Amino acid sequence: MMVRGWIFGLVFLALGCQEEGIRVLRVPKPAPKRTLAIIVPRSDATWFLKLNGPGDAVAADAATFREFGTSIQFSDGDPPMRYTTPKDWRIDDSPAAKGGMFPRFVTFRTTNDSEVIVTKLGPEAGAVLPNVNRWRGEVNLNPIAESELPPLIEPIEIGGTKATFVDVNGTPKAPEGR
Amino acid sequence: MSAVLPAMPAARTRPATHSMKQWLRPLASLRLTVTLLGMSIFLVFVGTLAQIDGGIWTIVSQYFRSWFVLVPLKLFSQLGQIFLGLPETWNLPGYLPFPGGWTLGAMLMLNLVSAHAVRFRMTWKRSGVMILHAGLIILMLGEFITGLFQIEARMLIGPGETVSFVEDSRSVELAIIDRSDPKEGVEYTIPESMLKRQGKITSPDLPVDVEVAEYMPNARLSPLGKTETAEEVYTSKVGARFAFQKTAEAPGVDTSAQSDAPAARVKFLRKGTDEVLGSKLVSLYFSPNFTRRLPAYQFPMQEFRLGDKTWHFELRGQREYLPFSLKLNEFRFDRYPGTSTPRNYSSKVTLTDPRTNARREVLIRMNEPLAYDGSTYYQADFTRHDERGTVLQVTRNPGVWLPYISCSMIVLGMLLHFGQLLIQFLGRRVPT
Repeated sequence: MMVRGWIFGLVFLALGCQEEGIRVLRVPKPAPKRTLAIIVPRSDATWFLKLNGPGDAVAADAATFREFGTSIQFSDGDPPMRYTTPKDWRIDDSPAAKGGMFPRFVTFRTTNDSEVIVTKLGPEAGAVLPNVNRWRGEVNLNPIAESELPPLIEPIEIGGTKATFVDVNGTPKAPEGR
Repeated sequence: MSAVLPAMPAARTRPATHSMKQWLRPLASLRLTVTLLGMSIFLVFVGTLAQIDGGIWTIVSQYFRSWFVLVPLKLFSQLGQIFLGLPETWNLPGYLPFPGGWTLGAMLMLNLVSAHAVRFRMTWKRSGVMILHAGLIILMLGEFITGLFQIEARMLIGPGETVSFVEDSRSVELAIIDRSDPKEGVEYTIPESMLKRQGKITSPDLPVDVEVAEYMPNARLSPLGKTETAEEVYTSKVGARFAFQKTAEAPGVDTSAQSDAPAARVKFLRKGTDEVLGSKLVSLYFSPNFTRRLPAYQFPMQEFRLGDKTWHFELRGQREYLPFSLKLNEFRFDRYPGTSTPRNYSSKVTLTDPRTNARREVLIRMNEPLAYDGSTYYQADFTRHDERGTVLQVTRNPGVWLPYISCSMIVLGMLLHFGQLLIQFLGRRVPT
């Protein structure tokens, strides 16, 4: 018993003498982010529908997002937009989901934890290239030129308005804290 | 009567036990106990004095969580200057070599265990003392375990961010980072203890050799006016200009002191050569989490080129990656209506653990921490400039319960011991 006690004590002393050394850490990068967006330019406003999230979650929600987009009907009255909320989507009414500089019309959370944002801005905000480059910046991609735009966009009709569907597939980005 | 003693078993065991006791006798000496306790009191005294100049955690590490310490004799001249009015020019040179806290603690424990092996007998009368001493042993073990394994760290999560690492608030590391692989980053980290020694660091684990020309325990970043110049000017992402100033560690006696921000002048050299790939000043200020991501203090990540690859590097709080992650859904700073008086701070986070496929939303509030995977996450602070990011204080101490257990045992032991003495005393008085 006494011998065991001494061995225990010596192990502890040895632990205390250990010095920290160089570490090699392998850190998995976060999943790439992807954004699907629909820009709907109308005479009185530009509507933006955005699906944001990790690449695989956005891929799983892509079809539902299109259905949601095509369910939209605009009106001149109040509310200015009507839509059918997809099954299993829930409205996110937390303060963070209200938006900062650009107040959101509505924010949803999908079952895959992607975020769907509907925003209404002025009619002058509808240019495609600046918006695509802004979204590319959000998913850690460099801006592109007008000539590189066609493969990323496709026409779509939303509530009787000719709109643009955009797919921005990002690369991994570490948190701001690196 | 002596003829009936069980001589045979004793003949087999006594010599070994006897020689062990002989060997332990010097260790079990009561004089040694008194000497060690006296030395402990002296160590606490000089450790407290040393906080006139040194930071509290530097002193804890140098004096109490160490095997050996060199006590500067100038501490006594400072004491004389403060209390005896000695002239400030009077300074004692040199150092007093002295055993550190771990040596004294280990010796006290050996002394106590040896005393029990040599002198004490397990009897009912001695049970109180036994329990009390067992409590003392657990108390010393508890401090040892805390010193070795305790983690005090912080986790800063920006709005909507997912974070799976914590950063130690008391020690830094130099990280050299390779981000060329799209699936995983590789980080080579050099601990603070190696940086402090300065000189050249070579290791087969490192992609380059690193030469630490100077290590500064504290260097403050001072803003520069538009026309002010300095030898080295550092410009943040928003164009704010700063210069570094080497300063003393915040002394342990200064309760209003800011956290120390270590810095170092380092050179990155091609392995096995003197070819300099980059020569930079690294500072904790360049780590975005140190300044709580204050926009004026955000700097681009430093880098050097080696071959066709760009390597990033930074001095940061010693980082530990976790097997799970926390995503910040919302941080709230509630105030009493119509006032700026804080009412509540809270963070709504999603905890995701791939090991168990767990995914749940957790609300962390003041006094309602999250306890998970052996650590506790407290709501501690937030990003002051936008009030949208949260800072969680993370603590892990495998010995956290040992002081409670030991103190309970010490109280129980004392009650038992003094209770027995009281009963004995009252028993003697009754007949008279």
